[in-house]
Formats: sequence, structure tokens, C-alpha cells
Amino acid sequence: MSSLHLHNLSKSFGTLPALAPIEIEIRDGEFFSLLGPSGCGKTTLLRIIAGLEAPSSGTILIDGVDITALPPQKRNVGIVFQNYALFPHMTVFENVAYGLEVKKIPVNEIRAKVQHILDKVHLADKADIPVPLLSGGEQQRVAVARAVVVEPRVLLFDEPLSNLDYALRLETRTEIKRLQREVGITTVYVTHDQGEALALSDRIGVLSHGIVQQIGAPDELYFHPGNAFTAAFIGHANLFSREICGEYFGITNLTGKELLAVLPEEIILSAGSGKAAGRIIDKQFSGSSIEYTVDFAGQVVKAIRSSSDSGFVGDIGELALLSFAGSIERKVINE
Amino acid sequence: MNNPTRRFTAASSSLLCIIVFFVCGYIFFPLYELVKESLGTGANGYSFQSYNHLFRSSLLEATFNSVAISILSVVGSGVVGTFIAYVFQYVEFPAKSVLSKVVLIPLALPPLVGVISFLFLVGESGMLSRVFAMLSGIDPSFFTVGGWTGIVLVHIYSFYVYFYLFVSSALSQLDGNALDASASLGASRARTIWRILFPMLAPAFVGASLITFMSSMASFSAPLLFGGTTRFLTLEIYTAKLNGDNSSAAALAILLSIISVCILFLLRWWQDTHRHRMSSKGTGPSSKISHGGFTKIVVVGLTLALAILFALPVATIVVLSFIKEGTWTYQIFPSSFTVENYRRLFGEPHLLDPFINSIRMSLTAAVLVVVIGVMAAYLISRKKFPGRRLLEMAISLPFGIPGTVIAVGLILSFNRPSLFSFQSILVGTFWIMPLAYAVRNLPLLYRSTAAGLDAVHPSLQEAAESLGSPGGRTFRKIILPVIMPSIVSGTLLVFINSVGEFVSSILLYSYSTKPISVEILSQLRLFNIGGAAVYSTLLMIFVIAVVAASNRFFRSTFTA
Repeated sequence: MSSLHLHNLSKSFGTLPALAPIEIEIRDGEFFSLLGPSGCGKTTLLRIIAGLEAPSSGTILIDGVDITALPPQKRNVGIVFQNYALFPHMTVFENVAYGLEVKKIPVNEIRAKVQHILDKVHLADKADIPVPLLSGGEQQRVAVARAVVVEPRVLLFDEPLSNLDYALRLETRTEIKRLQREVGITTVYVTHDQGEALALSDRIGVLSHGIVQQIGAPDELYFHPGNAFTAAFIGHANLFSREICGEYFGITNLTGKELLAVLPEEIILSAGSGKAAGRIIDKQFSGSSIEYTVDFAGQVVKAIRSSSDSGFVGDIGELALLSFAGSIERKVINE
Repeated sequence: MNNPTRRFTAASSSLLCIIVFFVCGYIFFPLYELVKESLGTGANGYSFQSYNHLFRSSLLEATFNSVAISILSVVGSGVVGTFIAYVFQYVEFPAKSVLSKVVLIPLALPPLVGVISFLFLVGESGMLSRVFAMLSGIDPSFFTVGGWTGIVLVHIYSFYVYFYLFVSSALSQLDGNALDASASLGASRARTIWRILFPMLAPAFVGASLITFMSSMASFSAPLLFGGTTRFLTLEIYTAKLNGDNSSAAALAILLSIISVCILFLLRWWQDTHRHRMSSKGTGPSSKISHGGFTKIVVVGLTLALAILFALPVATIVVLSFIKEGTWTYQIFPSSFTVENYRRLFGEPHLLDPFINSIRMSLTAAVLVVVIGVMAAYLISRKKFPGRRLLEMAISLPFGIPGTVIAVGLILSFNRPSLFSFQSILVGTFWIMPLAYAVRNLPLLYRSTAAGLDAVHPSLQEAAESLGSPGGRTFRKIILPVIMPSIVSGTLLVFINSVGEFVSSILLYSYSTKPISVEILSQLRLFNIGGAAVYSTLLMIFVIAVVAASNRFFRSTFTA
């Protein structure tokens, strides 16, 4: 268990900057997610922490000790790859035992440790099966067990759920969270799925174009986004300019650089026409909720209402009146 | 990119030194000696005199003939190979699995043995020619195949397998949904085959054409035994060398190499620029293309006939190995059989020497090739260093150089002491032939190992490293076991190629190191047909046994 400090870390490929100088402190035992769209530099950052890529500048400190110059073998940082990277010629047991054998741990101790971790990931009965014969979800759990069993100081996940189908993804992320909590390991988790990040993390670092947009707890990012990117990426918030706020909603306390971020569930649609009306261009029923897309004042607005709420029943092509649920004070800087 | 896992360590440098030594000493140095010899080293220094000789009409003729026969061979092999691959992929018929093995027979047949069997089947007094003559009443010479037709037939027989294997593997990896999509858009079967299937197979066609063309250009035994007075480049080189005209032989060798290497790099360039692989999820198994009853009967009948034709040469050799010396003259079929030929072989141990020589030399070559080839493939695909592309090209170069040329180059280089022969003379010793086999087969093993490495995702190595595994251990425990099947299958091919190797052996052998292929030819020259057939049969059995053993090895180790 350790703390991880990324200090002033940057990376460029040739003249192409991939990561702006980055400053992140990850606490002991914390589950920290790096969240961003593809190409934002999150995987590069992960590979730098693992030592698979060298940073252009900056230092990586684990428990205050600089490990920037250490090769991956000497870092004791575990990694779970997107494609799992299991050793195809070995059994489940051999895969998990590999890292322990490298450390020259006595055989009976290896057996006990592997047995213990396989129990934890519910694979105890599959120990002697060659890994190519396992299902995708089982392979994923072997990859986690192999990384965890060597008791790394930091555990890294590189989009570990992206190769699983939806139901398995939900199940596996619960398992990962449980295991992380039980082992208490400091974890850095890379994902582009904001739902995954919100559900799993103690804190999230939002990354875009190699720049850290905001770091914070899930609810903090969701309800108090620091800028327009975070608001749109995390909460799918609708962003309204000062002019629109003034003209349609009577909100006049915004500066020219500010936008009002309104979450889809904070927008209330009602039947009728008026100044603040828009045309419904799409309506999607997804069980617990209904999502409306409204063409309003030249922009596309998303509104969600609970499907148990039997108020508004507008249809595609009809007009709907927009209003906010309560007073919205969420102002973000437009960059 | 400064990816630390690709960093060059001291260990990598020493491996690189060994590889560079091999490439310089046994690929570049012989080529340099060839060029030097071809330019002559007379009193008036370098001259292009021997090249002036080249442009006599006879040599233009030889060049034209070599290129023409190669093109014919590519077309013929392409038609036969593609047809058979298509039938086995898409048409269902009884005994398919047995037939699919029968059509692989030419692979097990060393080129020289194939040529000889053709000689006895359709040559001047061939059995098949005589049978046809008897049945039709026409003079047997009408059915005798020789010269161009004979050579092309032998080439098709030996090289169609390349098309069959390339096209089969392309067909089995093909996204069957693309064919279904074409059909659902209303395209006829012919249109689907022509507009969708063939373009998707283009890389396989080019790859197989490349190998077939190079093999035909370099082909020596077929022109030697079937060519008669027709001139071919490989034959001209051989004749010049036997006549002691080293500079003409060298100039001819350079000419042949330039043509081959140009074609090699032309097609390689095409392959590099046309690499379009679509990543598709859930690739469905390729569907069966449905055929009408009549088409099916014709297609299957044709395949069956071809399969019988493929098996016939092997049967011929085996039958001939039992004939009594001097009893088969004017009859259609030999009439008296005996096991005398075999008894004599195993009764007099020295008669087995050529066989043992070949095995020893091939094993030596295989070890050499594995060491150099695996190291080179690993360094080139996993490490970054200046000259990486150049080294790769140098290692692939012998693929484009005919065996005759390699042999002449080695003779010119190592008939006197040099740095690369550790100050001894290699010509006339045991070492010269393994060296030739190794140089010729290095590209093969390099390619199969590199392909194996390509299939290993870099994250495998990274995963091992993040678990604390040092570089050497990662290579031994993770990379090597995963690519082992590629290495082993490559090594087997090298070994099989070397055991029956004839083209460079005929120029390099000495009395004490006579390989089996040369011995077969000597027996034939003495009209000792039974003896030649016995050696040929032994060679075939050996090759088939090695292949079978390796199949078993693969099945038991990698069924997982």
C-alpha cells in the first residue's frame, strides 16, 4: 500500500505533445480513475506509471521515493491490460504464479498465495485449465489475480472491461471494486466510460487533450463541474449562454465567459407553447427513464424524466415548453 | 518513441554482432566475390569483358527461356492450385479428408525425385506414354513429354502446392459474411467469385506467384533432365562452372540474381502497399457456395483425377525401387520384381553413406539457421537500432538468389583462406554444403519466426516485465514458448529442404561428402534405375516420417 505522486509529468512524441505537465497526488489505498475520451493521453499516462514508456519530463514518486528511472521490473507496479495479455501457453495457476516465481518465493508459499487469490476471484476450480479455454470474463479475472498476487504497491487498470459484454461488465466492475476494497491496494483505473468511473472511483481525474481538466470525487464532478468540458463529459449537461439564459429563463447573473450547465434531469418539459418552447426531435424509452431530445433556440437540448412520473407525454414533432427544476446556480467557464 | 522495452542492451549488441558477421561473411562476401570475378582480375584490371560475352544471342535466349518458363509455371500452378483450394474449401464430397492429404504429396517429394519420376512416367520410354500408345495405337512419341512441356509440367507438379496452401489459408481466414453480403445484394455466383472473392485473395496470389516464380527461375533439375538442348540460365551457369570458366559463370550468376531480386522486391513492394486488413468482430465462418449437381460432379471428378496424377509419381518411384537390374527394357511395365536393391543397400553399409551425409549436413545447417534466424527475428521485431530495415533486407536477400548462384559465390569466396572461414579453405570440406543450405534457408526461418513474433502482442512482454521478470527470463519463459510452433515448423522445412537439396550440392560436393541427391543422379547416369529409385524412396519415406512426427508433436503439445 502506497501513495503515488505524479509530479510535473509530461510526454511528447517527437514534437507532438501528448501530455501537458501533470500534477496528481493519489492517496494510499485510493481508487483513482483517469477518465477521458480516446486519444486524451490517459493510456500514455498509465504506461508511464508502469515504466513501459518514459516521460519527457517530470518525476513519479511512490511513497515519496523517485522511481522515474526504474525499469518496469523494479517498480512493483501491477498492470491489467485491456487485452489481458495472459501467457497463452500456461494454465491459470502458472499465469498467476509467474510473478511469484520471478521473485524466487518458495514453492509451497507460491501455491498458498495463488490458491488464496484464485479463491478470491472465484477461479479456484479452474487452476489447471489452460487460459485459452477460459471465457472472456474468466480471463479478465486471471489477469487481475496475476497482477494482485505479487502485492504491487500500485495497481493499474487499462480499460479492463471494454472487451466484455454489458451484463458481464457490470458484474465484473462490482467484483473489481470489492477486491480492491478487500486488498486495500492503491489503484489507478483508466477508462473512457464515465458511468464506470463514477461508480468505481474514490476520485476521478478528467483528462482531455493531455490536460487534466479537473480532479475530484464523483459527486463533486457531477454536481460541481469546473469547466464546460467536465460538465458535458461527466453529466451530459446542457450548456446555455448568457444571452439564452436572459432571454428565455430570466437568469441574468452570468458573465460573458460563463455558461449555465443544466443536467438533463433538471430540465422539465411541459405541454403548451410559449417563448421557451422547442420541438421534440427524438424520444427514447429506456425502462426507468425517458430521454427527450429537443431542438431549442438553435441548440440541441437533452431532457430526462423518470418513466414512473406520469406528467408529460409529448411525442416526436410536438412542441414542449422548457423550464428548470428549481434554481440552477451551476456556472462553468467556457474555454 | 523511447519505449524502454525496446531499448538496446549490451546483450542485444553482442547478438547483433554475430548476425552481422554471418550476413557479411556468407551473404555479402560471396556476392562481392561474384561481382569481382565477373569483372575479371586480369592484367588490365577490371573489365566488362565477360559481360560482353553475355550478350551473345545464346545467352539472351537462355534469359528469355528462363523468364518464359517461369511465367508459364506461375500461370499453370496458379490455375491448378487455386482450383484445388477452392474445391476443398467450398465443395462437399466423400473422402475429402483423404484427398486433401494426397494433394500435399508433392511437398514431400524433393524436386530432383519429382523430376525423375516424371521422366519414368512421361519421358521417352515413360510408362504412361506407352500405355496411351497401346490403347490408342498411335506412336508412343506422340505421348512423350519433353522439353518445355515437360519442364512446365514438372514445375506445376512441384509448385502448385504454394498456390494451394496460400489460397487455402486465405480462404479459411476470409470473412464469409462478405460473400453472403454480395449474394444478398443480388450478385450471381460468378460475379461474387470474380468481384469479391478474387480481389480478397489477391495477396495470396501475389505471395504464391512470388515463390513459384523464384523457384522456377532457380529450377535446375527439371531443365537438366528435361531440357535437352534448350538453354536456361541455371544450366548455363552450371556448364560454365564445369568448363572452368569462372568469370562467365559469375557474370551469368549475377544476371540471374538481378532478375530474381528485382522480381522479389517488386512483389514485396506490392505486398507492402496493399496490406489492407479489415478488423471485423465476430467473423462468421465462410459459407458454402452452393453448386448445381452437374457442376459438382465435373469439379469433383477433375479433383479426383488430379489427386491420382499427384500420387502417380510417388507410386512410380516406389515400384521402380523393386525392379530387377536390367530387366525393364522394352516392356510397358517392369515384369520381374525383387527386394535385392534394398537388401544390397542395407547389406553394404557404405552404400548408406550419402544418406547419412545428407542428414548430418542438414542437421548442421538447421542448427545454424535456427540460431541466426531466431536471434535476428527477435532483434529486428522487438528492438530499435539503426540499420534495422537494412539488416532485414539482407537476411531476406538469399530468398531471391538461386541455389546455383549461392554455390558459385561460396566456391569463389572460400577456395582460399579468409576471415569468414577462420583462415581455412572450406571448398571440398564438410562445412561448405551446410553453409550453402543455411544461407539458402535463412530467409525461410527468419520469416516464420518473425510471423510468430508478430502474432505475440507486445503487452505480453510488458505484463511479464511489470511482474518483475528480467529481459532474458521473459524471452525464455514467455516469448520463446509462444513462438515455438513457428520456430519448429520453420526448422523442419529447413531440414527437409536441405536433406533433398540438389541444386547447390551438385556444384559443392566432394567424394567424401556426397549427398543423397547427387548419388541419385549418379545412379541414374549409370542407368541403375533400381538404385536411383531406392535412394529416392528412402528420401521420401524419411521426409514423410519427419513431417508426421512433427504433426504428432504439435498435436500433443498445442491442442489447448
